[in-house]
Amino acid sequence: MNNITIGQYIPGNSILHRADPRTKLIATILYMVMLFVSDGPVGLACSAALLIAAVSTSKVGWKLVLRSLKTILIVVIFTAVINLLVIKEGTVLVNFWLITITTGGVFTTLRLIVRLFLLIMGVSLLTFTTTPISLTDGIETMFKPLNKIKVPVHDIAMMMTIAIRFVPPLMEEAGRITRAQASRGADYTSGGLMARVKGFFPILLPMIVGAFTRADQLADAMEARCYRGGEGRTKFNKLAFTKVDVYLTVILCLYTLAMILAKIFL
Amino acid sequence: MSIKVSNLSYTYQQDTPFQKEALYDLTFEIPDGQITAIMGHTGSGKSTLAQHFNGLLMPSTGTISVNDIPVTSKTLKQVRYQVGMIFQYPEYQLFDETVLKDIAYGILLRGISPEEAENKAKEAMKLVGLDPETHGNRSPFDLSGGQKRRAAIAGVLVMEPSILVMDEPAAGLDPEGRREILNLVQKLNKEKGITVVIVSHSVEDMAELADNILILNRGRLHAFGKPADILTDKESLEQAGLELPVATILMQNLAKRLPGLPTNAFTVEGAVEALIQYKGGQTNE
Ligand SMILES: Nc1ncnc2c1ncn2[C@@H]1O[C@H](COP(=O)(O)OP(=O)(O)OP(=O)(O)O)[C@@H](O)[C@H]1O
Ligand SMILES: [Mg+2]
Repeated sequence: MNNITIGQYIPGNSILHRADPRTKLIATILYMVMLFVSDGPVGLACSAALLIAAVSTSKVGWKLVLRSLKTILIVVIFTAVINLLVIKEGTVLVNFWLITITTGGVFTTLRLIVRLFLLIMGVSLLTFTTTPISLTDGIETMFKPLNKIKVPVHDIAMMMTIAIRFVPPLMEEAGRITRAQASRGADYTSGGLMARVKGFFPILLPMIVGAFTRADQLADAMEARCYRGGEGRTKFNKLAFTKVDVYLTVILCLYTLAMILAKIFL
Repeated sequence: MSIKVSNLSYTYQQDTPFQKEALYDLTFEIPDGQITAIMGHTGSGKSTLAQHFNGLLMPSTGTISVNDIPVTSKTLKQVRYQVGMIFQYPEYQLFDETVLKDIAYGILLRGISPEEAENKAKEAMKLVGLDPETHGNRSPFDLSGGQKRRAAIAGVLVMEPSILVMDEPAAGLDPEGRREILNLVQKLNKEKGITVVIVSHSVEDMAELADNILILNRGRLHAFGKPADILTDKESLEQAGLELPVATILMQNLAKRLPGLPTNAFTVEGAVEALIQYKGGQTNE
């Protein structure tokens, strides 16, 4: 519980914090696509430059951004090792017993690692600088046209918002109940599988009961305020593009241009 | 003797942007066999401190020992045998099919026979004023709020702790439910000799109940002493965001009109006695 993982909003007032969530969503998606389209050394250097600039302006701090890599480190190491051993191109560097490492393998693996790291850091930067609520708000507005083909965009967005909204109180409740049962001698770390699964009942059951109670209360509260779905509903905090978004868009266009040029000419 | 705390500090979520220092350099000793109240304004660190007493939180710096056992991750089991912990709104931890089974959960984990566990659970129910015959085999979710809370308390008492830590045990109850819980606390202390540490906001309740009062102010130890000293010191209480008990306010205001009236009463009973004595002194003259 003391660890921050990816997906946590870090309050701040930087340009990135103030930008419209739609700009940030599009930027992130574009950045992800470009990472895979233009993955030569120059392309990756451009993406890295963009990321470094973004992290510095966000004022979130490198410590947190780098910490977000911890969660995927094992996956990256695993894929890197496989790549290193399987790819056989270029000159042979090491040839020992069953292991053959080639220059081609080393280059591909390095590129893969850099690409994955850049990807994760970019996505965590989005969640570090955007509250979950404004993120769903952005998604809802962006996908509004899908309403025409009968996709219930508003309802999906509302469900996402509520789900995200309830994560902290549920976490807190889980912590409280776990501590209460631990005080009564509960132990989830010893015994066989069945014993451990059974050990979780005293935590799960009160949590499920609590979740249903909360859901009921929330539904009543929403109905009492005349909530009746998305139709004709206006927003209190209307999303609006500002000067900040114009700057970001310009930078994004330059980046895309550079990436495409790098792809074509290098 | 029972709980010794020295230089304890605690920081939530250390080394993150959300770092929050909740307790600073606390040193005190909670005496055996008495009722000690922990008081303070909202967010002063009362619950944080209470969770140190059975090792749910470990001090960031400093040490704490319970009945001469140092609280560390190695002694957790031993410590939790000694210290029963009742959280704010304990009724939300009920989970089993029947009230009896739920109460017996803790001792069953200690490996005693189911029959013995049931007997002990029945005894604990009687102790908190629930009838095992009428309520024992009902679902805990069918009880009233006050009954649920008493069932949850029974689930801790069944383990016969020598120290009981309670976080706002009377919060959110009606006056009668409140009275019952506070009477129960008194009974446990006087009849069973259990050392009680009770977190509370109510100066009136603690004036009646506590042998000692510890006041926290923004995570620091503000005062620790007898109710007679702590609860009559207006300035000190107000600094810590608390108020005088009504009885003390009454006596201090009356003393402005009635010269010579003692102002050291802090319970209603004490105030009545002081007034009767004062009146006696007047008519004798
Ligand atoms: N899990 C947590 N993470 C970060 N900070 C916390 C956490 N729990 C409590 N705090 C902070 O620590 C401080 C002390 O909280 P605590 O719950 O101990 O106060 P309290 O005296 O019990 O208050 P109350 O009377 O409202 O119950 C508060 O400022 C609170 O915001
Ligand atoms: Mg509290």
